[in-house]
Amino acid sequence: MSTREDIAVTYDVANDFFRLWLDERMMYSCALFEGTDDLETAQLNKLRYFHDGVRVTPDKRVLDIGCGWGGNLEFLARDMGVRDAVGITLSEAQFEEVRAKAVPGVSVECVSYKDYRPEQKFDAAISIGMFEHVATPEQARSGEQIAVYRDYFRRVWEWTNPGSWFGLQSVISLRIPRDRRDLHRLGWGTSTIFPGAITPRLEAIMASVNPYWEVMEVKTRREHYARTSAEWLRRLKGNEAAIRARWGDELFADYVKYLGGCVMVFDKGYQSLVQILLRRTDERADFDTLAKMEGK
Amino acid sequence: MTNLDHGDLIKEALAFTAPEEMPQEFSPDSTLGEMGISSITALEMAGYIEEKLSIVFPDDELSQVNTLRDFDQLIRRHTLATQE
Repeated sequence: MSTREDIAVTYDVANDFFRLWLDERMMYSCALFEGTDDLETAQLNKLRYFHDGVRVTPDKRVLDIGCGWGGNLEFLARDMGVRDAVGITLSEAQFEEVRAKAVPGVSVECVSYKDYRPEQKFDAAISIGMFEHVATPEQARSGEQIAVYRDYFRRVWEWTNPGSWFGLQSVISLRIPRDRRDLHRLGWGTSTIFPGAITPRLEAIMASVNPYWEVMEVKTRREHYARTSAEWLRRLKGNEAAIRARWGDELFADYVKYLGGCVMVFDKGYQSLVQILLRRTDERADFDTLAKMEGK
Repeated sequence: MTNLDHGDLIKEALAFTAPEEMPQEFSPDSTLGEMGISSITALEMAGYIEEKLSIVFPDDELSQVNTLRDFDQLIRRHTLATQE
């Protein structure tokens, strides 16, 4: 797991900085450009996809693992009527932002998933853009990542009630570049902007959900993340003067380089984005097709 | 390079991609990092060898390469596979 210090490098730059180039809900993750060219609408599409995918209803208790600045929690509570939406984040800045909003039905804890002990179980879980922080680059290099991911999936299983669904979104590694320039750019982004994080391979996720979760749906959205990153970059550049004045030239240059690198890695197919819907592996009468056929 | 089937090729790849990282002595079982070869250079070396031999290493196998011997075995596995 990325450390609190790593997380601070990535997410605690300044909330107002991210506000200048993310969408209005401050979703720092891939949007879903289906039937729209507008980032705000595309981010809402993504939130709806997970809401519907994990079968959320207003009476269900929903967990958002890595809740960011609370965009999904607010959507669940305000737009979808969820009365008990709980978020966890390891970022102090994000935690303070969510707490300060005080949205009815939303609660938040600043805690690592490894230390999280919910008092009540959940009926659904969503994690958007946090899985990249679960294993460290060192654990991936030493081949430990599947055990680390499996431990994560076990914990979410233990936090949820039988029958629960879990929606997961993560960047995935498709192909390691061989080109020095691309390698440096990818390596720079990981070490400078996302220290302690590593993008999993899809097969590592598939291997590690077992025995806790059944894979119900897998969607890859590589081109959607290229478009999302390109739009972030456009908005960042549109606020160049304000960013340079308030946070300095170096931060602006770093994020131009980083977001340009994001567009490149998705365009060139080095990385992709996956959305996975999982369902707990519990004994289920609704899957007893033979019994249904026989009218039992 | 001692005891490695593809030692000369590995050395050639390093000389081409990052001559400044060429170690004084090659030790097949030391980690690449211990010999001063960065992980980015190792990936570039892989690209050089892939092009030279017209093979492609799977990323999951490539990411497990920690020593020159691992590199040698990776090349051997994939050159054998293309000959079969």
